[in-house]
Amino acid sequence: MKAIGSLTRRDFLRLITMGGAGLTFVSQLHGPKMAVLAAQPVKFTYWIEDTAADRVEAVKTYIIGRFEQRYPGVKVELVTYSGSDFRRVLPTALAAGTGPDVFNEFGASYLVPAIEGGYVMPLDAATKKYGWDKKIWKWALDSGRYKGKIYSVPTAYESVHLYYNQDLFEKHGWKVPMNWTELVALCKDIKENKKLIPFAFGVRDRVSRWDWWLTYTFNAYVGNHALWEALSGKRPWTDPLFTEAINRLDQLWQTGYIMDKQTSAMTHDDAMGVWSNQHAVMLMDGTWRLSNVRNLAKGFRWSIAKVPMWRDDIRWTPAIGIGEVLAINAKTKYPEESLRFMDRFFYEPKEIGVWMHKVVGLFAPPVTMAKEDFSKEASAEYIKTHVDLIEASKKGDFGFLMWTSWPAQTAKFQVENIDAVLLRRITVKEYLQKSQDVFAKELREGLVAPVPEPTR
Amino acid sequence: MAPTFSVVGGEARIKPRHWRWYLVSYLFILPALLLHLVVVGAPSLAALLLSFSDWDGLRTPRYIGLENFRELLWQDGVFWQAFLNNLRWMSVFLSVPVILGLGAAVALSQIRWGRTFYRTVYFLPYVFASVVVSRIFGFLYNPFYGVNMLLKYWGLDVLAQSWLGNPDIALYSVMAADVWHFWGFDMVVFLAALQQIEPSLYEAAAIDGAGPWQRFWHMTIPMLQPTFGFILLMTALWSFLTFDYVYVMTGGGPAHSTELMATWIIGQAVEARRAGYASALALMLTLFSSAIIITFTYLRRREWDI
Repeated sequence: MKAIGSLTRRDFLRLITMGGAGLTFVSQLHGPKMAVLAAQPVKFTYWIEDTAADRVEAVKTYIIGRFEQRYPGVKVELVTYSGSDFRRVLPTALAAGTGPDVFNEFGASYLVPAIEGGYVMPLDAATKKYGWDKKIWKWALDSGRYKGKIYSVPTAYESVHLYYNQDLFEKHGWKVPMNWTELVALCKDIKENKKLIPFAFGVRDRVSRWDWWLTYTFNAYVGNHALWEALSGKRPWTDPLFTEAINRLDQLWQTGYIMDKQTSAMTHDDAMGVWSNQHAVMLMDGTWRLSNVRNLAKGFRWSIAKVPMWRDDIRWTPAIGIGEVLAINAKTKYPEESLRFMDRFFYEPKEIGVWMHKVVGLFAPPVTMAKEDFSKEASAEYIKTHVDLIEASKKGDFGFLMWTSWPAQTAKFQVENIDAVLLRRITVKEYLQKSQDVFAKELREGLVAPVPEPTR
Repeated sequence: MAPTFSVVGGEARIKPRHWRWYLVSYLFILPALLLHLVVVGAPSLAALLLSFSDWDGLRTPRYIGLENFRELLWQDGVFWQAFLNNLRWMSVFLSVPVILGLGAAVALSQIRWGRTFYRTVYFLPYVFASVVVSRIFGFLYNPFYGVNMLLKYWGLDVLAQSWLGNPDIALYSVMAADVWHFWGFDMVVFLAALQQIEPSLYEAAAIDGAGPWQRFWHMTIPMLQPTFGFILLMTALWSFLTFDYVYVMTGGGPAHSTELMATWIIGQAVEARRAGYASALALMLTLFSSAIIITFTYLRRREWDI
């Protein structure tokens, strides 16, 4: 007390000055970044391929909003594109060095040129750091691996299903078909007796939409194991199983069961209109259709079912694949913030369950979720569909989606030329032989990504 | 400094006095030339170089020599299908809109009252955006609620077709949309040319006993020769560059039956991510277009009045 009491005014001022100088020194060591963060929030861009107003709003509110709440110093600028624009703009922007910091892609196979060009950030360290390897299904995470490194994380698993007009089914006493015989009998009754169209489907606006039907065809007749063999180069595409699969698709088309043979004359919106007007009874469509099927089914009840298999000696397995992946631009100025944003998609199953239902059709992270994790607002069909897929994935008992598991050029050839088969411009034999040639070339060039072997 | 004018052989000609006059002229065109070099010259040169590479738009291009050209000439069946479709397109557009346009122009040139009204009505489709026209015709061609419904209502079921779904007629269905949109342009050009013909010539011919058909065949047609030349050249070039109608209405399908060279180029560049191969295709398209221009230039030098 005495010492303090004996401080002179001059000593006191000296002490204050020294203390101030010391604080200034320390703040110079650690302070600048904090000062910058406080003064100027980090802002990075996030691109998605979706322009539907309700989903864009849901992404802003539930995905970005929640992230920005957790990290107040970080802002995310959402940029949306329609599918064709996205396909054109993203590579150009990446190459020009003006691309997004974080972006979605339709699947890991679409990323290969960008990875090879050095435009995509490897995520191996982040996968461990954020524990994605423990949360995300192994096969789904592995699908983002290229030459041993992980470059993307999956944000949506998808499958194909049978949607149907429940009112018409009940009115006419139809049952959901469980096999080929029942499917053909049902289609025959719908078309010949009730003068309706069994399946609505159109590709005039995008011929590659045939990949939905081809996915179904191959999985339903060839079966997941033989398909895995073909996709691994162990079974040729000219195998009789594939010939018969295409023949059966041809049979459905030639009899007018698929859009009355007008698939090339109708856009998919046109076809949806035919289903909405109850002139068509069923849709062979993807999980994403759950997003707007309620709006399409105006004035009638709809339901969803497993697609029937076409061969008696194979059991039902859902074709599952990754329809959306998330990647980070290798040239981003904000790698850490981008990684945190990526992690935002995998917080907790219950939290995912809430926003997944809000952005339905866009994101469905491949993480294990229990029935009760799904949103309370979700329909029973929605929950059951996802739970079935999660179970199938857990068991490793699933088939393959064309846009996820096929090598790019093989898929491109098959979807762009199936109408040539149906319109008798080329034969099934020529179609499959060319498929085999394209596949063999991709296999030789190392462009065929490994697909997980399904359990038997 | 200022140029002087002299009349030589009845034509006014500019006789520059000083080299600086040339310099000023060139300085005036320099900005446009520089802009042209940047936005046309450089990309064209890049496309030329890329046509010898396997560039996918993102990776570093790899030189592959003539591989792209070998593929498009010997292996790419769709390329030849598209080329053939472009020729079909050209043959239709060199005939149908020209005949319609000329016929309407001749008819309109004969009337005094209502000429502006009819000219506006016939020309109107040309001012609509091609995408809008394509979408409207897309609706009309819908097999379930389009023009087919009307045909069936009239009992003409046999005429109801899958307009865009049948590969044998899909290309002509798309062409019909473009003809509807385009023929008014030909009509306006022909009408403008007809109005330049001195009426006294027709009067003199009529006094000499020439009938309407003789006047049309022996006077109108020869005097429209330069207009024909312009329309044929532009139509031939545009036929090879056509893209929008097919892209919007069919995307090249079904089974590539409506594929054109321009749509195939875009498909390869964007969808297939084969920018190098698409550059080679674009170079071929340039060669075909150049061949048309060279042919016309040659004919003009042979003193064809076109």
